[in-house]
Amino acid sequence: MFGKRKNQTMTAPQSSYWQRLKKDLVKNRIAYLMFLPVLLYYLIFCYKPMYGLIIAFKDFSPAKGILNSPWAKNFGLNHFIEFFGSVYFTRLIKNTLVISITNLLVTFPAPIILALLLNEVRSKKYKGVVQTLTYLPHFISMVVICSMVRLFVGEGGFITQILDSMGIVDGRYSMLSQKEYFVPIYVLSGLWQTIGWSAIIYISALSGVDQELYEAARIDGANRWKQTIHITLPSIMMTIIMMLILRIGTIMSVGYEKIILLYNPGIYETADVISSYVYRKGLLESNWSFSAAVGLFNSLINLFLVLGANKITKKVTDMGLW
Amino acid sequence: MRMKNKLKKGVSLVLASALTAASLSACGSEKKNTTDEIAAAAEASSIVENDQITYPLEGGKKLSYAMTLATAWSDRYDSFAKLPLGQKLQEDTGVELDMVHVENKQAMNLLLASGEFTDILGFNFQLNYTGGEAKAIADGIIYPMSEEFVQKNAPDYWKVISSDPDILRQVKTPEGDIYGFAFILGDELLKTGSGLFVRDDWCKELGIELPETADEYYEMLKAFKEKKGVEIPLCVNSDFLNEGLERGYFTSPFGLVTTDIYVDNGTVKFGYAQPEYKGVLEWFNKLYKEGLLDPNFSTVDKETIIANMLTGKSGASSGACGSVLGTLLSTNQNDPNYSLAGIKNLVAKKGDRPMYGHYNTDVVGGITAITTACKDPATAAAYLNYGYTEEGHMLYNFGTEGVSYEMQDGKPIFTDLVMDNPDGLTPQQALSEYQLAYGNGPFVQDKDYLLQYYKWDAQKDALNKWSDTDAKKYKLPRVTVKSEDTGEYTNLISELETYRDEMTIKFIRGEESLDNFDQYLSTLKSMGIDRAQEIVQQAVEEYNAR
Repeated sequence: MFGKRKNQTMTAPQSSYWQRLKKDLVKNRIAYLMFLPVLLYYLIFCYKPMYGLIIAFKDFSPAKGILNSPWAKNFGLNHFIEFFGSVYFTRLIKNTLVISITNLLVTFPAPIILALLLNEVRSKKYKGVVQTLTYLPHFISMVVICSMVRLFVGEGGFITQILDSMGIVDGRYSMLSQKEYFVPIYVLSGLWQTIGWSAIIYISALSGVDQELYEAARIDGANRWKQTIHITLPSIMMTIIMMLILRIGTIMSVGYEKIILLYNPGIYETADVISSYVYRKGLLESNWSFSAAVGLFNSLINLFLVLGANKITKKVTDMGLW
Repeated sequence: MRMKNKLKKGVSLVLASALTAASLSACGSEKKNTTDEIAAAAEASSIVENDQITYPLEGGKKLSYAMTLATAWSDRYDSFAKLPLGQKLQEDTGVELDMVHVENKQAMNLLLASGEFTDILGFNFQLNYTGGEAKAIADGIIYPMSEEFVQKNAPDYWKVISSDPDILRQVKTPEGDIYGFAFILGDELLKTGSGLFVRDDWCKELGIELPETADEYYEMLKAFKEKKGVEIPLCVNSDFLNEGLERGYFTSPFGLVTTDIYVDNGTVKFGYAQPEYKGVLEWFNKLYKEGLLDPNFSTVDKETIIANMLTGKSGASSGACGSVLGTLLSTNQNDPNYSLAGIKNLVAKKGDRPMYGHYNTDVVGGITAITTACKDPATAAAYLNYGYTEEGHMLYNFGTEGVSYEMQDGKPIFTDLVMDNPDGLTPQQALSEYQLAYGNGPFVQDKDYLLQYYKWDAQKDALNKWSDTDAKKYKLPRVTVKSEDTGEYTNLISELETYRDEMTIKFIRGEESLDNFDQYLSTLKSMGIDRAQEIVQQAVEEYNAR
């Protein structure tokens, strides 16, 4: 592959680069060989399917296939125009952002705090137990998690009952039938499910911190709190920022599985998000082109969010993904 | 280099994961046979002689056939072809079936989107495929049959559909193509199948007559609550409620025909956009406030409703004669203190006739169609024609003589093997192994099947009461929206119905004051309900002109 291109681009200023590459290919051929499956994976499963995206600009019909389906009206942009003009457009964007940002604010710092706390625990046994318990929910499938949540917050569910006795909710009604509880239920159940698992990366980053730094700080008279602020946090800052940028990139994408397992038409007002809308349009109503257009729009925003977040963090902290 | 890879990775991951719908449809599609080739193949066939097909067909033909799994047998068999029914069909017709089973309608839609069709497809295009059969023909999925093709290759089917101009209209698209082999309801009685029912033993105990009007119904629920201490007198969920409103169980007392689309003297109307709907919502709001309606109706599932009705936690509900009423009666058959009775759809004054009820068109939604991928449509047509012959009719409706039914006084009577199965299967499960009348297929449904399938007298009684309505007068015929309008129409309808569902729940729960009902109506207008009405009106006019 590279060899072919070399012939085409054999111009004077670039030749040195291609020559170096050629040398490198020979020298590290084992490494490149190991890299090959990864490259193929992305080409086959991530890039090739992207050609199917053109159905967002077409009136896709299965029998005609992707290429032969006719282009949509208004220069192919009809599905986008329809979506922007939909009465649900603003609500979908709002719900997606509210759920996602609340989720980010709660579930992003929580695992860091958990990791920091665990880091301070002296007893290895206790630490292990806590770690195992917190990441167990990660291994339960989403459908089961959601059934459990539905039971817990349904009428007579144990969470509903506890909150009822505290006078916060009315125990006769399922909390999932009241629109104001959807976001808290969604976010807190997500926290329960992911906190332990997400903490692993921070715990491993923490174990790499040079112990001599702590020693030096102790000699300077820093207490545990000061050590955390001035040594631990800065040492894992790169990890935190990397995770943050990746998370920001997914702000507009709230997965549909959990939403459709928890919502009902009575609380669409706070629960319906872009992905659940795409699911209903695409899979339930077989409006393939329309839902592809909505999905594409969603992904474009995500892309710009990642690029933006990366740029900002680079400016502020001098660290970034690329 | 490393950084670049990360960028690629990040971007592609984000794009790829967010676009599942797009990538799912990225699979290639095969080239289809041209219509000319198919016509040539049909010409060459010599299966039919003197307007009669001799079964079994010769030549060891093979057909691939896709259908959704039926829960009635899917826990015991993995393929339709392995059922006693499937075996008998293959033996009788001489055609070997190569089955492709999909889990549900979403899976079927994915199969269709992949472009890899089987020779024959059993599917409810009207309900689950945007634009219905006409669009499926335009999209190149269904092979459109001409009248001549059907006459020539499926003479028995042709006899059935040509015997009644109404049926012939229903199996055709606006373009005049016959879209497939229809499941035809052979009797008026078969067109109704669901309604309201109550614990009549409690009514008797409390000295209440079975309610006819909305007020009586309300008083009954109140008596259940106050005198019997019933926790949730009326147990329905939003699906049941929606179905009940669309099938007119609760609408007549308030001057509304149905919340569904109906035809009033030739004019198409959307029930949920009529001012009379307010009265219905006010009544439900009252029930909700007084704790007579399930406070969690927007979240409970069907299983909970069944459980509530079985345990006496609830005293009134609604649903299908077989799968809901029948299940309840069979489960509690050994309890002498348990009985249920169907009641007529509610009316304003005692003795009135309900304006609407559950009523099906002759040809229901699910059909069996030949696809464009079929290389030999003549054989497929001949195979599907079998259900409309006399032998096929008996097989599809009653199963195998001597096994699942016996002839007594010229009438087929189901044996105990199916009605009182020794292995403990329910009648529906047992029947599903031998016949298909419980479901949907290429044949005419027989009323003798249904009368036996409804094992309990309460079911037969309920059916009589539920069918006593003026629904025929208002029923929207089996129309097809013009294919160029389908995209616009489905988008409109799905947004309108989402809004309706949401607002209905809010009005009933009092989260939205009914003073805002006019605003609801004007929002529907601004969302384009008039345009939707216009499209359906055109479809009705086109249908009447067929």
